This record gives sequence, structure tokens and C-alpha cells, in this order.
Amino acid sequence: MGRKKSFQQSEILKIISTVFVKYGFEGTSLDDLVKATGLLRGSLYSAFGSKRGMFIDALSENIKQQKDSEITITLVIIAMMELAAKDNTIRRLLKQWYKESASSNVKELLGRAVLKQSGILKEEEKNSHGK
Amino acid sequence: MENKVSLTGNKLVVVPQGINKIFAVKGRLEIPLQNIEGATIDNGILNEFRGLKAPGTSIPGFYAGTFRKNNEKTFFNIKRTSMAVVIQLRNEKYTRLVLGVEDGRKLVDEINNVIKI
Repeated sequence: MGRKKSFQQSEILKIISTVFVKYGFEGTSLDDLVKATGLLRGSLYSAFGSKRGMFIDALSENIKQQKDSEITITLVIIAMMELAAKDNTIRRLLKQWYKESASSNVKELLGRAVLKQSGILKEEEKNSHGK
Repeated sequence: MENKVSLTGNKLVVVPQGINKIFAVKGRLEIPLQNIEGATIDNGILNEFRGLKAPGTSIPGFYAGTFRKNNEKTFFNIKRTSMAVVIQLRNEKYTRLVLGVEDGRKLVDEINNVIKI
């Protein structure tokens, strides 16, 4: 039972992550998350406590999977722009991520992700700089 | 506003205001912080079926009282047009509270910063 639940939880976090990546934190409504996951609003609240709880779990899970994946970097940027200044837990998470990513070129990674997200940096340019 | 909500010491205190006091059938609610799972701005919750109501009074455009749905009890005290603050609880009579307050965004941030997750 426990194993099955945690498997579902990671699947749900994947879906939740893509919703946050698409709409940002403030831009994502509970309605968006209910629709994307197919779960009841009450089940989402029971599992995560709040939208912020869902975001923290999604961010943590993606950092755990891969610190520099596209989805992790995008969630990190959303967390930095929308949440870190007012949320101690998220700021702590980001600090930890930054510390552990410091050896790789984290500033360039973030900058490139922002440029790509805005459509300024083209796909080919990104590939020619690829790691 | 429908409720005065404050964080005092290690408790969240909800005091329904004015006429809402009567309809919500509650003098005040006190929730220890360790029983709070989180807070969210969620206006969409007002569009969902809220469940069966008991006790409380039904007035159009106003949700006040205890609603039961899917084995959960939710305490509503909010005008249809207000920004909805949803507070998820554990080990409490209510599974969650849905409240209209003066500054919803500020309250949500305050709650999420004082609780331990």
C-alpha cells in the first residue's frame, strides 16, 4: 500500500510540476491542478496542505531527480522570482540547491534558461553550447 | 470583512464578524499552529459543490457554517465575491476552513511562514 501510494505521489508531482512550469506559481490555480491531476480538490489539500506545499514538494522532487534538468531550472527560477523573498522554507531550499550546484556553471544555466524561455535564445544556439 | 483572523502565540484565532457570527454558528475558532497544514488563495473552491450543510444558514451569495462532503467537514464563512483563503487542518474537527478576510494574500504568507512543514 505504502509503496503504491508513493509511486502515485511521484507521478502526481510530475503532473503538478508541468502545471507550475506552464503557469508559474501565482498563475496556477487550484482549478488548474485539479484538472491536470484528475484528483479531488480535497485530496490535493489532504496530500499537500496547500498550493505552496505542492510547489515545495514538486521543487524538492525535481532537485532530487536531477539538479540541472530543464524542469528543475525552470521551477528554481519561478521559486526565485515569485516565492523566495517571502518564504523562508523555499529560500532555504534554493540556497541548498545553489550551494550544491556551485561547481557547475549555475549562473549561466539560469541565464540560458531565462533566455530560452523568453524565446530569445534559439534551440540551435543552446545545443552548440551544450555540455 | 467576514472574519478577523490573527496569529497569536502558537495559535490561529478566527473570529467571525458582525451578522456572520449568527449565520456561521461559531463564536470563534482557535487552531494550534501544529494542526495547520497550509494556506492557499483558492477562489475556485466557491464554484464547487460545497456539500451538505449542517448546522448553519443558507443565504444567497454567502456561505457560512459547516458543510459535509466526502467524509470531510469544512467550515465556510465567506461572501461569494470575496477572495477565498483555504486553511488545511489536521487533528481538528474541521478538515479545512474557507474564509473571507481583509488581506488574504498577507494572511496566507504569514500562516505558511509560521507553520513547520
